[in-house]
Amino acid sequence: MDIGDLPEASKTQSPKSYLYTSIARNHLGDVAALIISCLISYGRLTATDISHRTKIPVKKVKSALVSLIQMNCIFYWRESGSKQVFYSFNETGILVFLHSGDIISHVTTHYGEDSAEIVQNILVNGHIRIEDYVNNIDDEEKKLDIQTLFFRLFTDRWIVRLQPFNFNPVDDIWNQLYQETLKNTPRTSTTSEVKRVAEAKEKTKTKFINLIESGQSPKDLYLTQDGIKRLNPALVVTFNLSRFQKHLRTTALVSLAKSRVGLLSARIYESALKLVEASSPDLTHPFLQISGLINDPEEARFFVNSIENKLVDEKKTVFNVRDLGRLLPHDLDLRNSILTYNFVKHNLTPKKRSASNGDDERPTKKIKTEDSDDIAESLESNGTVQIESNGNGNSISLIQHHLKLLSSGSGAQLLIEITPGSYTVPYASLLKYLKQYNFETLVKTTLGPNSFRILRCLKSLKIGDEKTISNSVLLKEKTVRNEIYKLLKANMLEVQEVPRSADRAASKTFYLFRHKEFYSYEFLCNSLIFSMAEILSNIQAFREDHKILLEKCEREDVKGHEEELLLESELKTLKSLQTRQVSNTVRFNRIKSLYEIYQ
Amino acid sequence: MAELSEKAHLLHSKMLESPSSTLFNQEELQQMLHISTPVELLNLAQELMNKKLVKLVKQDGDLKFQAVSTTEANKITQMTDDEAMVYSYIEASGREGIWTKTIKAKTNLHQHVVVRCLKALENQRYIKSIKSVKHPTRKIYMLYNLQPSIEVTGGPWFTDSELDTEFIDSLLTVIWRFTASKTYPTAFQPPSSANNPIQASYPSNHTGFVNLDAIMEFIIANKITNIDLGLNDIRSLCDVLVYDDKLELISHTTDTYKATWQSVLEAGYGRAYNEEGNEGLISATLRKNLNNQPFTVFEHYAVIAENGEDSDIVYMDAWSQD
Repeated sequence: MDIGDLPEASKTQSPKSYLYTSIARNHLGDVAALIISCLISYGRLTATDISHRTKIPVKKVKSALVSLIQMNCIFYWRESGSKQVFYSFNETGILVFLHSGDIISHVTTHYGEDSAEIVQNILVNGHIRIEDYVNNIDDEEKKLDIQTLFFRLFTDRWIVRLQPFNFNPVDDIWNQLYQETLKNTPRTSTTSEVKRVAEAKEKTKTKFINLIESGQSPKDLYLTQDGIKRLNPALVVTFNLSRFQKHLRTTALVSLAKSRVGLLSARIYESALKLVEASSPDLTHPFLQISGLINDPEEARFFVNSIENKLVDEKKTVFNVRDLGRLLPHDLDLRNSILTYNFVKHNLTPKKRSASNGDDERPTKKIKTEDSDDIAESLESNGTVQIESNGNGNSISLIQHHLKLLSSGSGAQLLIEITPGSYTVPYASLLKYLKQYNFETLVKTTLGPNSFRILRCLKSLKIGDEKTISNSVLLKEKTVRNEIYKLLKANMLEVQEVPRSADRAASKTFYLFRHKEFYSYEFLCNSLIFSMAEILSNIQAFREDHKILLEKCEREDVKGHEEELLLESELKTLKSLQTRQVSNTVRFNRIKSLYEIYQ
Repeated sequence: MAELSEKAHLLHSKMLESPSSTLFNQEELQQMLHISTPVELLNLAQELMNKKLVKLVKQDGDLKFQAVSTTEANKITQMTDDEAMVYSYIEASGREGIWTKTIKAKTNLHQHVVVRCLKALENQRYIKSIKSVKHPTRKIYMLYNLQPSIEVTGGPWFTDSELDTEFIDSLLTVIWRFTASKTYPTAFQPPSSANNPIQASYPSNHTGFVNLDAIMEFIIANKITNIDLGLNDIRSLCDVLVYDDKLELISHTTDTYKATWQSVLEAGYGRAYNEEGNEGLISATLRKNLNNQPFTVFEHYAVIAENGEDSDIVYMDAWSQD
């Protein structure tokens, strides 16, 4: 393979390969891109194999591999009993590059410039030892500050400890552990082979978890000196991509809430999600990544739910209205957001119910007095206290009302109230809705409202032919046929042929249509990835067209004196190039925000 | 009718006393006139048959008699034999109508003859041609005074056997607007100090949402259409709105709907705080915060179409097309 063929070769391979290679080329250079593209296509190779296939000298390959491994772009694996080292592609590093801009801007807004600097340095180097970083600073006071920032980023899980096994592919680690366990599980005449394998698998699972969790105990991570807990400076830390993915999930969920419930509720929801974000379940789990371990989709769902339930049981993803009240943004004004007239009525209804339950006299009297009271008093008599200190009327009761709204959606239930006043987020089921709503809105915006209507109708019908569909969507059959063609072409529908004669004559055959989420989402995701890669190579291409001008700007003597040294036409081109790049980057980021949902 | 014997006349009028299209068997007719022998009845029946005042109908293998009114009989006696035959088949088809090809096949008449008969009958306003929704290309005939059945007309959604999408769309809009106004208290009102400019909702236990009956009542009370709509028709309209993601069925209820907030936003409401002239509603910092949100496809209505270079545009299906 030659570097000139790289874009085309990776483009034809798979959208992922196209995107990853383009990113690698932009950030890491041609050699890295070639190696990555080669590893994506061949799976895993030794250094000599890579050199053979890419026609890059072994020495150069090896030095490139070192830095790629450091950047978490490549895994290595040494087979026990053999000297050969195999290299395979690691998505994490490239994904971090993909999100790097967003990561830094997010850390800047939430943790400040200094934290962003630390994160940026970690991103650039792949991983760093805290000691090395701190020792580069001369100012003693600053040193302490930086250590505190590290501590804060670490406790919020933006950075995590990097250990040797993080450089090995999960599949290989699993396999090694599994083979070992299997060997140590004795064969007996009383247990069947199936049972033995299952037993070995269970044991390996425990071992695997132990391995992953090893070195994460407070003893390994923290040092306590003079009563102050701080991070062990000998730790090697790296950026935690899954933490950022959680943040992206929060953003997507808030957008969903904004479109389904309303802006104020969505902002409360945002605060709530941020409250539990750090301890929310990861988007992926190593067990789901190990090929062949969890095959059944039902089992996978069960597994994901079990993780979530465990977090709920441990109260990690559970929050309380009062906790939330303290964290709401200051500019949030909830006054009059829940209608007053109903507000009064609401406070009365539970009592009316209890009145019919047994106690006759007293409660009825109470209602009478309340009718003449104003709202604040009726609230107090109900046991809820209005917080007046912050002065903007964000009472606990109002927040509670918004949380109730969020948890009572007829489609997606954004929150679940587990006990009065405390809520949790049903991540697993919400992700399903998130994908569904985004997908449907994409259909609406690209293929039009008629396609949207037909698709949703077909989803509720499960399966249907043109006639049934056109009867239920009240559109002309001709329109329906056109729309179905569009949907089929975009791989959003499946067609089933139902022949009615032995020769399968086309005139007698009729067709049924159905929508299958998994395949549609997969196709959409690939399309989005492809489009992202296209934008990147487009930017590359038009920069290439003006290479001479851009190089001129980079020259030392020109820098800073562009106004004097460049022609007016050159300045104009430069400006248009810049706007074009900005608009393309915006486009890229918008597609990226969609792609994250289907990842 | 002068030639008609008295007894035959009596039989005919007695038969007409029962509701039309009642079928009589031999015994019933004998009892009517207290005739003991079938031969006597046979003579009378034959007399009426000749005058076309009685029709013979075969039901479950038995021959039965049906009375025909005098005017109807007059009509038929004036027709030629061919016409009468064609007419009888059209009459038998009732409200469903009959296709010309079927007439031809059943009567065994030549195409020209059938066409001539149909023309003659149509000119005399005995029959009419109708359009069927199911088979738009077929020429279908039925008796002049009958209303085509729902299967033929396609129900209220069809005007001249074409799906009346304009009518449907306007009804959809009316229903959506009605439901939305019951779901979001202030969505269609200008912002006021009594409610929050960003979001004003009913609490989650609000029960004032609309059901099919309420929608029906609203349509009737406001005389929105002169076409009779049944609850089922309203339900199918609501289903369409659900497919459009404009309405949602409220969980644990039957036929109670609420409008989705997304549909209100897409229709251009609920964003008054962000419009020109309403700057005073919320503080500047809040506005900045609200407008500085990450991109989401749900806010597609707020995205301004840019006019960049054509080569910069990416298409969603580029992967499968390239």
